[in-house]
Amino acid sequence: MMVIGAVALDVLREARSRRWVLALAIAISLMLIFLALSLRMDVLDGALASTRLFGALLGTDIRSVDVALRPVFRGTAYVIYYGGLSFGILGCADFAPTLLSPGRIEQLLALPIRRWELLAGTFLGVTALAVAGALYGAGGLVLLLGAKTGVWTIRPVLAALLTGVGFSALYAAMLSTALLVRSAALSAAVGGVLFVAGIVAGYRVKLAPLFHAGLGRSAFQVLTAMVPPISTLADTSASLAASAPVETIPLFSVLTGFILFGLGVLALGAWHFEQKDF
Amino acid sequence: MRRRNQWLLAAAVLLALAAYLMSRQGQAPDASPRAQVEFPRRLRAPEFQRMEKRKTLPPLPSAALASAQETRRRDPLISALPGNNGGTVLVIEANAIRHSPIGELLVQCFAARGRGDPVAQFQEQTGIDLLKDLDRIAITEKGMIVSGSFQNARWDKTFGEARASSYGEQGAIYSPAPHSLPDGGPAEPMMGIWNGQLIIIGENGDDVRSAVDRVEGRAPVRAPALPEESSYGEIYGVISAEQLAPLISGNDLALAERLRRVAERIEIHVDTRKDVALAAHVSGRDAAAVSDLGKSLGAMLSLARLHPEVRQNPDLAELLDLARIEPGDGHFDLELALPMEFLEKQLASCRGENPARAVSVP
Repeated sequence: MMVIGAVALDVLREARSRRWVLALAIAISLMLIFLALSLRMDVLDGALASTRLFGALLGTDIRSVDVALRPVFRGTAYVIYYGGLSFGILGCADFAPTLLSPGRIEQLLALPIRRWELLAGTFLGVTALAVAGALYGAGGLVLLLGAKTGVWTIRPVLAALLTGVGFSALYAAMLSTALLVRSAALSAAVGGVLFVAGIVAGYRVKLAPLFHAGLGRSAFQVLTAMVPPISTLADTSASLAASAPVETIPLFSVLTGFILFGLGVLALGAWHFEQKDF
Repeated sequence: MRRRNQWLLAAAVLLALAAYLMSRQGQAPDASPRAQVEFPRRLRAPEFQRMEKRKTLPPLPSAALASAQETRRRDPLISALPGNNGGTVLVIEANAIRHSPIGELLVQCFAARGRGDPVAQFQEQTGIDLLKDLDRIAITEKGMIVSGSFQNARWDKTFGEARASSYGEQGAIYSPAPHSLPDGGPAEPMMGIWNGQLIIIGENGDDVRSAVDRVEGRAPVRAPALPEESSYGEIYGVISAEQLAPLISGNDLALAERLRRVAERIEIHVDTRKDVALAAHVSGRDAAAVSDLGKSLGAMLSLARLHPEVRQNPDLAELLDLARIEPGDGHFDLELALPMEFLEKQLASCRGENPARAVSVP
């Protein structure tokens, strides 16, 4: 376990020097600073009386401030989830190919580290990076709005954690692809395809009747059952952030499914990695 | 080799389990309950068609015209209403409500909890089927006008010993004997029937005769109490602040007094086609005072949400989540809703107890 942690830390250290990661951190910080300076919210007896962005009035209806903030948290959860996943696919696609680059992989394999530990450490490091980004954005927004309105809620932060779970499933497939073919472009492409397929898979119940009953519909149902339902987790994340009711058992089932999918794909990657000659 | 196969086996088992768990998922709720509630905000196409269909009266004779607008055909019920005098005029689309989800539920409750079948008993006595013959009920400060199809009504049996006299071209006035009210005051209600379409109930004979005169075009035309463009929703009209204030004075006397002082016109619209959604438009001459009143009401709703009792009651919290005040210049809008899921939960005991009268919603 110590070895896996050390590899993960190594990945995080390397991430600091990446422009993509730096750009993300700067973008999130700028967005939070922009909101902190420009957003003014007048709260009167627990009611949001007015909201101004750069002095311009945004909506005039008087509503309980925690109710008024729900659409904001909902929208933010979607942005963090889909934005985080998109960024993660593009920004983290070349981590594994760099790890496997000639010269470096031989050096790593010469160390007393088992191959699967190397794989698990890389996966853990990149996933931790994605989770940190999501928590920074959501946590910053919660602190900012809490200070301005007095509404303190942990739900958007919990919702941001779901982004980490969603990304882990995608990155497991990207990492295993990179082990198969050392290409950042192919790794990103697999992540992208899985991302889009996952959005479709989330609506499989609604979309299935569009196919003719028979082979076409059955094939659609079987194929989409094997893909992590990205959009379902996005909707759940948004509902969680917006204090809408979220059923625990289906959420637990989906989350476990995502985690098992990630572990399954990683096991496939480990199987290939174990028999590969460098 | 054996270790490598273990990875493959683990992958197969994990992916199969993942597929099973992920395929069991349903759809997450699309949006907040508020987004699913449709509030009445303007005259919609079906309501415009409904309004046009009801204009069965010929235009007024030119001598009685106040504006070019009166050259069109007229709706008997709307014509019978007194002109705009700042008082309460409320129209209830009884037939539309009866065929709405809440109407269905209420009919079931009514039948389940009543002794015998009160609707059938009423029909037996009067010849009027309340569930079919009634169209609209208009309530004013001086009485009530009911529209519908009353050709089968047995007025002689209904009014018993009341004196009957014809009035105008198609009107009939019934004068029941004076009787005492529960508070001891005398009551001399008068009732009029017009062409088997309208039942007019007034405080006295003049009220009823004036209504018949307005329908038959003998009374001078005044500005309508309800403009055509305001006839949307299943309940619509204006309520005078004087009449509304006593209803809320029990909870907040100061607020009731402010409402009485500031609000000059309170127009309400209730939509029952899916949920029960109420939109009220409150306006007054003193723009600043109206705006302050709106803010006070908004703050009151917010404080209510923060109340411990409300926080412990998810149903109540959900109802208050759906409440909103939107201030404007010299007016504000109030929106409240009772989602059908909530009503069904509250009236769950009515479901299934008396399915005989349940009629599907068209």
